[in-house]
Amino acid sequence: MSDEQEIIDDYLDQVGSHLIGPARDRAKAELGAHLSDAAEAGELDQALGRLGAPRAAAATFADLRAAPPAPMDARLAAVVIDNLPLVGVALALLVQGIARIADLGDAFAVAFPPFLYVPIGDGCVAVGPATCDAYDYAGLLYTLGLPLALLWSIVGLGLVEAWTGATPGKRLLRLRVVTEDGLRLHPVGGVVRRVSLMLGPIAWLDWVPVVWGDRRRVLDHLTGSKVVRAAG
Amino acid sequence: MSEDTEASPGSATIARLRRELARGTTELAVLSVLGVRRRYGYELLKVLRETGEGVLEVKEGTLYPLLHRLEDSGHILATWEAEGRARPRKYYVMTAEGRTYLAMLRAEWSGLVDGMRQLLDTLGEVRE
Repeated sequence: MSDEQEIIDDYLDQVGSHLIGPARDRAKAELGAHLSDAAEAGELDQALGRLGAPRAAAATFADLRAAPPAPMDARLAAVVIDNLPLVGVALALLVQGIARIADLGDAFAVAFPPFLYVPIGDGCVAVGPATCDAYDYAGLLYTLGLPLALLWSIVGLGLVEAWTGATPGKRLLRLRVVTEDGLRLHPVGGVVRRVSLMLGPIAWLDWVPVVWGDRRRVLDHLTGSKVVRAAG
Repeated sequence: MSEDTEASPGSATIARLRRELARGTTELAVLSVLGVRRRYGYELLKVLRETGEGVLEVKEGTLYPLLHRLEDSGHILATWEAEGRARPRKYYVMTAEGRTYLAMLRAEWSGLVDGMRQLLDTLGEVRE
């Protein structure tokens, strides 16, 4: 393989790493042909110079760049599907809470996402508005079930979203997540845009912009991401 | 546009204006070149950059999104062809719809150029 071919392949890989779906294949094919033609004409350097950094070149092939944010009902449906483990844990906590009323006549907390607190020594650290004994009755369901469900909802979905451009729920509803430029999301962005789930029910504040017709959550804005309809 | 920006056009405004003007002319230029015969991407870029003494300054970053748009709107058709080469090329060819569209663009362009020339000539006479 010639040096120029190696340069081209390397450049195409970098461009491709910023794109998802059909845009990625199209960019690699069209840019590949274009750069090979440029190399044949002895003008590879000039062509690469005009294209600029791989991210900039990727942006010109990002077909989702101009796509408007997707409707919120589709997004909410995807949220429910993606967060089924968390929904399951919340429902199980609810059932246990109801049983507790029947047995002990005690009150219990109902929240989605569930309140989150971490016992440390004698005390505990609450994330968001939680009292440290809110789910004392729940045992392993709370100490193991909830952390696992949150791990999936925040880290698992965040990484899947960054790698593939969609979570399973979004894929089902033909939605994609991209940066404002229509590029693939960075894994950190994928995770950060879901951390609100750790705040217990005040996580819904993240969706407040919907009230004034904004189709992007607070964390969508903060991470520079948008959810759009898949192309084609 | 506010009066402020009209009164003192910054370089950003000029850059934006140039981009907008270029966007219209690049589309006309691309369709005109493809109106003569089919071309592949690199060839098309070379023709655009070399004719008109480089006045268009077309870059890949402008050309390919434009080709995608023209393809989506049915004005051009793109096909990958190997033609005995080891490596296929994507050829762009004008459709019938594209020809109609090009004729309209040319008419609009001529009208605009004539109108602007008349306007500038008239203003030039007034000043003299």
